Amino acid sequence: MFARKLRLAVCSLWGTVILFGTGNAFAGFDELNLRRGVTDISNQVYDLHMLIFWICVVVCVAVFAVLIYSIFTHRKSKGAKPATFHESTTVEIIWTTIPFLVLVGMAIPATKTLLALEDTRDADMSIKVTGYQWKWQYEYLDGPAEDVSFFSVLTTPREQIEGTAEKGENYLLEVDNPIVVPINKKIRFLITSNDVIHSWWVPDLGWKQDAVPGFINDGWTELKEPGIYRGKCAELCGKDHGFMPVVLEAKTEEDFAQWAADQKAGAAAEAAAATQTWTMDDLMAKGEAVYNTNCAACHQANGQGIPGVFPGIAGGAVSIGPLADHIDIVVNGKPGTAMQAFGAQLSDVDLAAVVTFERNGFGNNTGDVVQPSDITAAR
Amino acid sequence: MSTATTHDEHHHHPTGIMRWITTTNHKDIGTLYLWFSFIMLLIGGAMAMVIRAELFQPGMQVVDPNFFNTMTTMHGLIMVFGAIMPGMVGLANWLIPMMIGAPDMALPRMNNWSFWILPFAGTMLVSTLFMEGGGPAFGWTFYAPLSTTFAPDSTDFFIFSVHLLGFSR
Amino acid sequence: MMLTDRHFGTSFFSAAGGGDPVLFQHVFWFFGHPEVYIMILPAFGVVSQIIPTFARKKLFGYSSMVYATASIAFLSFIVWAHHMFTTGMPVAGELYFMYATIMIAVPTAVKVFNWTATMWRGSMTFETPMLWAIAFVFLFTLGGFTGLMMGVAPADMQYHDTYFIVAHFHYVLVTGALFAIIAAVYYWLPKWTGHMVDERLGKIHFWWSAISVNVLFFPQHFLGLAGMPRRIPDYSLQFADWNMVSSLGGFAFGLAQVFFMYVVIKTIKGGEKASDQVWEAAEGLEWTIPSPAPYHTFETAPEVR
Repeated sequence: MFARKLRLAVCSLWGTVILFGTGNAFAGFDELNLRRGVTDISNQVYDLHMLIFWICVVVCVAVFAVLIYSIFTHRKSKGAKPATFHESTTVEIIWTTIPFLVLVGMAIPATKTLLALEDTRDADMSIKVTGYQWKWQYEYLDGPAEDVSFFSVLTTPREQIEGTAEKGENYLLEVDNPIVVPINKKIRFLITSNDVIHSWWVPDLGWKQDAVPGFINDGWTELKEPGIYRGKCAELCGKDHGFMPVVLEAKTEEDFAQWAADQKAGAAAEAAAATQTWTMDDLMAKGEAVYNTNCAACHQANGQGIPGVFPGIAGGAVSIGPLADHIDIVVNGKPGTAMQAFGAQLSDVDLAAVVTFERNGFGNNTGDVVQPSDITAAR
Repeated sequence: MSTATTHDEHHHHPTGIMRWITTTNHKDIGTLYLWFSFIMLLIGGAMAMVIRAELFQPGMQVVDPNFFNTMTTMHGLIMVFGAIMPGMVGLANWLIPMMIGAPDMALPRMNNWSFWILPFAGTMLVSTLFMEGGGPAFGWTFYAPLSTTFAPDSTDFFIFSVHLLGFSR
Repeated sequence: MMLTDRHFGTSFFSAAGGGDPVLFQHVFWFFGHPEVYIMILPAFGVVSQIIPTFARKKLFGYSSMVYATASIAFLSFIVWAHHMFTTGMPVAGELYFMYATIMIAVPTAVKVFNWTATMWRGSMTFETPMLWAIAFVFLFTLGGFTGLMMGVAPADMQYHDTYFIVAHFHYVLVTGALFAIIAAVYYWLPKWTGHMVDERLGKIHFWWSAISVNVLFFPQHFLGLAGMPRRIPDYSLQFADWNMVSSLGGFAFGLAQVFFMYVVIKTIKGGEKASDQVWEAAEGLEWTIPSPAPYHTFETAPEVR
């Protein structure tokens, strides 16, 4: 009596699970399953994923059904007598061959997808992606935006991360300069890294590729629709691994050309600014902004650093020591540590501003004013 | 588990703590392995609790990112090398001689020695947490500084392969 | 195996001290993949002991089990780079490692089928060790299937380094290796201590753990597929719900293991006296000696029938 009730209960439980499972599979698809993505490749990957998934589900249900039936029927309390069979070569050969054939069936589409995924020939445009701790650099190698190069850094404010402000819609998935690509072009990404291993991943493109220092990996995509696609770094790369998103913006060809022209004009304006003489106030204001995007992750927003890991700026030996040493360490970095050579990343104006800010902010008050021309001279 | 001693009237062996330190008995060593494994399971589990507490809600609440990475790293290392491996080795130590009808493991002193490396290795691993700059924060798959704390594990495999040898004999 | 470890001991360090990060990964995983199989193979053994005992029926296909174990061990040495599909290997390398990896599914499937066949038409009772062993078969199978999915290289381009991976290896290591260890402890504890485990407490521990461990790790499949990378201390908002569920499961599972310590200590301190045979249908030399096992066993060689 009890066993029958129990069996009924388990059956209805299974029914619920299956209903719930399929219900979810069709209703809340986005949250529970792989993203279909927006490219041919990501669709192929998605289809492959669903194929293996359903194969697994079918096998799983079959095996579990046998197990569960056996658990509820062949129990001693129901007077089951143990059978004596314990070998059957035929059966074993059958159930070795069947999984093998199923696997071969899976391997064929998988191979096709993989070959397509890795085929980076005949690209219309190449973009070099470089991982830094903890930001991405994008360099356009050819096409309308040739020579355009910029860094892409997280813009989610500290207050949201620490929970003192309401979290925005794209919390941790927003950057200052997204990588911009034209649609309907085969774009080849050359992916490498400047320090540790990162991994460049936009789920909607259907792949990720590790950024390995000293190696160049490649991948490609061809987008159909303009839009903004968001992803993240997917290989543990240190403290702020969780805070270096990838944002990719796809534009129509005309919009892309316009964007490229704007970028080039912006670069020219910046070069002109480097020859001017700046006031202390302007440098301090700009320096604070530069500090918060580039330096605060390690040296902290209050300039205190993290004892034993990242030295503090407030009253630090470098920031109140000789000016030339300070400029040198910011421009050339410190080999063997997380201190990068910012000379390659920031403009002379930004560098002058941030050094001025570090020497006069946080109560350092050295009174030193660094002009962009000083940085140019120190390079 | 120390009740095993009562069945051993005609053998002289040290009692108290020295019994456990100098033992060459496969059952004692198996017991030591299992308790070590369980303690490590709880330590690693406590770290997992820290991880899940931080991930309970979006945003940073409990720990800073560097310590979080340390937790994931140490959780992985402790669970793999501190809990599961010694757990398996402990079972093998207890049972394989009994299953095959052997009086003890092959190379019993080696067996004892290889256990006592473990607590030191484990302590070394955990103590890195309190060193300046924090413990390893680069995932359980990474980088050389771990090598010092890794070393005992290879001895662990060594004893495991000795078990296999004993098994095949 | 020893040779590999020596290999591990030597080139591991020099590669790390040297400079080539991809070579480091190759060497690490050349060690690391067999390592995870070292953790799971004894678990297979434990389960293959427990299930026949409580099914009162001999293990189905003993020799094919042995072949399956051997081929898993062999395959585990030649598939290391499936952890590295995204590091920019040549296509031919990726294809090879993909084929080799999904091949592992064959012997693993044989094992699961054999356990199923062992239980089929047995005469089962469900003492605590049997419950853990059955949970092992179910949940390890789930972990095995996600492993198969990840073995398919193009799909792994998406799964790699997400919570899908985290869910997979926790299903294999926690509900696989750890559950097998716990099953073994419940199975042999009477032999070690001379006391039976309190069945009621053991069953509470089982159901508590088995439910909470699924609450803990099952949502992580969803998180990974939806695109949450692993090892991040903070995540974007769409992942919030399942992370909370997972955390709650985690706390419950953690508490369950503290409860386990209580059960074990209670058994050591006392309890119903265990017979030498302990379990009705247990087979093997260890059940011929008294419970608890004397300090020295088999001073004269036992007779093996």
